[in-house]
Amino acid sequence: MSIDRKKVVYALAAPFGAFVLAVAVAGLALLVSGKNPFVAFKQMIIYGGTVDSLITSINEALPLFVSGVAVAIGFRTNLFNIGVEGQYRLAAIVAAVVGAELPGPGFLRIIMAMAAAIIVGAMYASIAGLLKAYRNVNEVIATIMLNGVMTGLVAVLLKWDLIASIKDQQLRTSRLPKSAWFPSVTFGGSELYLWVFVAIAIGIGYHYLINRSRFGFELRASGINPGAALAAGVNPKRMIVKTMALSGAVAGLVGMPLLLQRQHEFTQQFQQGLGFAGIAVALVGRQKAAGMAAAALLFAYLTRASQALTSPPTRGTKEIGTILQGTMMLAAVVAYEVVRRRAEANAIHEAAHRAAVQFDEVPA
Amino acid sequence: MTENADKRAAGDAGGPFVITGTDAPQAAPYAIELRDIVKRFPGVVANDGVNVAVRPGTIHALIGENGAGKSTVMKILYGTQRPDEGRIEVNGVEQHFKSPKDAIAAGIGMVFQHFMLADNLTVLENVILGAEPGKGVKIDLRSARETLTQLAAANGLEIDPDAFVSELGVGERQRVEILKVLFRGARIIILDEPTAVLVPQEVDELFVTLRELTSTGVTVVFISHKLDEVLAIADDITVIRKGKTVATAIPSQVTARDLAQMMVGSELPSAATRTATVTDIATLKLEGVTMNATARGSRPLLDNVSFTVHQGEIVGIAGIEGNGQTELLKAIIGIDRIDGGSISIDAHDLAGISTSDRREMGVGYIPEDRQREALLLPSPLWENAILGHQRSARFGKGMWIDQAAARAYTEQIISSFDVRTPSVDTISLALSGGNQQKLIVGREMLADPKVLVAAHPTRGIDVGAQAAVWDAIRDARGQGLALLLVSADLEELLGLSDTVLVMLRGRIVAKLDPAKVTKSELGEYMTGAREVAA
Repeated sequence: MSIDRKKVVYALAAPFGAFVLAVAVAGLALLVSGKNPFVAFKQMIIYGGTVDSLITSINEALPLFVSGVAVAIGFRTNLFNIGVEGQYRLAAIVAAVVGAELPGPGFLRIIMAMAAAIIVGAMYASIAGLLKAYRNVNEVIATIMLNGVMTGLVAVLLKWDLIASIKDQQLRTSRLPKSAWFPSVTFGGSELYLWVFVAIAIGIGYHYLINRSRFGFELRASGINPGAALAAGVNPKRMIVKTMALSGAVAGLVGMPLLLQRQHEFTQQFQQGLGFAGIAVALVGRQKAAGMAAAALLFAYLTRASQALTSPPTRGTKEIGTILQGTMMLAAVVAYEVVRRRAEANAIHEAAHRAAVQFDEVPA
Repeated sequence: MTENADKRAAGDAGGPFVITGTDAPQAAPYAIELRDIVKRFPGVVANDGVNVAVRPGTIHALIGENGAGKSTVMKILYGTQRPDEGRIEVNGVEQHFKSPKDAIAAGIGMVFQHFMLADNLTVLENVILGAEPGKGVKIDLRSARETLTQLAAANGLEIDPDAFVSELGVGERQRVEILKVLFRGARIIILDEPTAVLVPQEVDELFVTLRELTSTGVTVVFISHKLDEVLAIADDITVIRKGKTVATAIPSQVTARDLAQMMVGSELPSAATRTATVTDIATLKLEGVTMNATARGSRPLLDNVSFTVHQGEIVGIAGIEGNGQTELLKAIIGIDRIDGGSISIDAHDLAGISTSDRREMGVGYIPEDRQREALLLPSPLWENAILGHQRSARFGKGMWIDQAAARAYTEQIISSFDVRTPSVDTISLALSGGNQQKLIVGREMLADPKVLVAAHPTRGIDVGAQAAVWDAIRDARGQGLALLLVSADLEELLGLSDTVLVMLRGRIVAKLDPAKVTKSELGEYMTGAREVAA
């Protein structure tokens, strides 16, 4: 099957090319700062290859992946949800309170916490969806503003003594009981978060919902051609609200592996920036479930491996990890566009050829 | 190709109506002479031996089916594409056009089918746009105005240079386009399907203009597939088929039927419906439908529109584009809301019923603008084939789409409507406009609609495929389809319809019997020159 092979080559050529370019740019940056890039990369590979590093990479990839899925849902219908950041942090603090304060056995607390996160994320994102659908407010502006509102909301909530108090000089929500910690398994002294199965389920669910369901078809159709979707019976306003709510619901889950497996409480220091990282994951992973999983793993690995650059002889160059990630994202987006155009030109050529051949076959 | 076709092709070349005008002794050199032009695209030969000789000061028609290679010839003449082989001579001098600039320099001008005018500028401003006379940054408007007035007077293209283009009608806009190329010094004008957008009266006016142009020595190349018009206006005709020039003819010695045979190697299909199948069951009924204008103070988009389409009936809507046809179709399918009156199907009022529910009630829709309203260009054909029917039980259970069923449906469309595509997975962007249109018509027709509202169902598709679409429409009508047909192709409209309604400024101004009305009478109703009580 030569066509299939061609497709595979097309699909892999772009990310691979982007990676090579990223390594080259990072190498150049190292050279400029007077370090030997080969030494640095070797350090990264050795450190990144340890069992501890690999497991940490997987754990760290979980929120990145979920965030990527949340952003991707919006992308598929041409909505840019920059507000994943605000949605997951607001969802996380509510989930932390629900998980810690409500009575019940551990597994029920986990379920309640995750449900709360989904609902809060969906509701918070819906604000932007409703504004877009019924007041024509650009969703990028609305979600960015809502991120700002979130910062304030979280600060106020942490000051509320019903749900948070100062411990070790920090405002914290109550700690989830041990029974409400999501299980993990230990490999060579490192804990692998079993929340990975939830992430896999989210990925599979995303894939089938978007690509196989009637709803996903309508969602994609609205993204590709709103006019045609309208003529096909898709209500564009309702589709915007639904998509934003769904994106927000998934966004709500971004903080869950952190809350349920690592922190078990919400503090002002609860990890930030995952919402923005999700945009990069969605772009590099081309909004495909497997692609985003690979991108999330790669990004997490690069972050982890660049920790090696905090020790001699290349101390002080750990930003190389960020350079690698940033370059990859830019290069991948450009490369995908190039590949897409090539594929399109190929398809047009093939169809024209087919039409011409059949033209000759038509009996006069 | 079959043996018969070969014989027929040979017959064309040596037939009684073929005049070998190119061999006649000629005093002046040809205005344009193309010799043995070959243009290949990867995998396809678009032009394979094109020979055209255009006598100066004449109107030369270039005819052929869609995809026969007319537009490639045109692009080569205008310098947007370069031939792989062959020779181009303009007024006896060999030319190698690298860009339209070279073609303009050689005195060739082009008027495209879709006008390229800035609505918010005046006629004068549009004409000089890109060729502003004057020194430095200052435009010499006075000399431009003089030149324009002279050109207009000399060529019978009367027009107010200070009128805004947005206020002009289609025919006038076309005149501005012609003035634009004359202003740039063109003595040879290529017109690409110039009558496609005109009503019959405007066509007559255009022909008068073209005659005046040639009388002042301008040469006109007229690209068309409307045979009656070609016969009415051309001095010489060159026929292109499958990338080759297969015949030349002069109008006094051929009929439209002869030309059609040369073009496609088969008889002209007819749009005429055979037997009446109209029942007295009212399927689609509009009563006093009104849609207000978006801008305050303008006339309503739809003004008290009432009519009924019965089961097994085809009601045709004639009208110049922009007189409410688009809004009428959108109101019926539920995209646009109406402000008054009612629309009902089988006596069910559609008020408050969504587009998707209307579709499930059996309303099919072939929109006017296929790129913007009917297709997902980057998606495979099978997804395009179920668009609008994505909720139908036919394509899946519960919340999931049954891909196998969708693919089988697509295959059925492909074979029934002769959609030329490598596979059902090809993206719809890759197909030619005609094949895209066949896919859209196919997906609506094969879904067995009860009511179909269709705009220009055969626009841009070949004569052969057009016949297939007409057959499908007739069959569906025989089985009880109620069809509301909007078409700019008056022959199609008169041939298929059981009743023809004329729309003007949002109102139905005439109800006509297609068997008793001529195209030119219809044109008069469309422009408002003739009126009856509807």
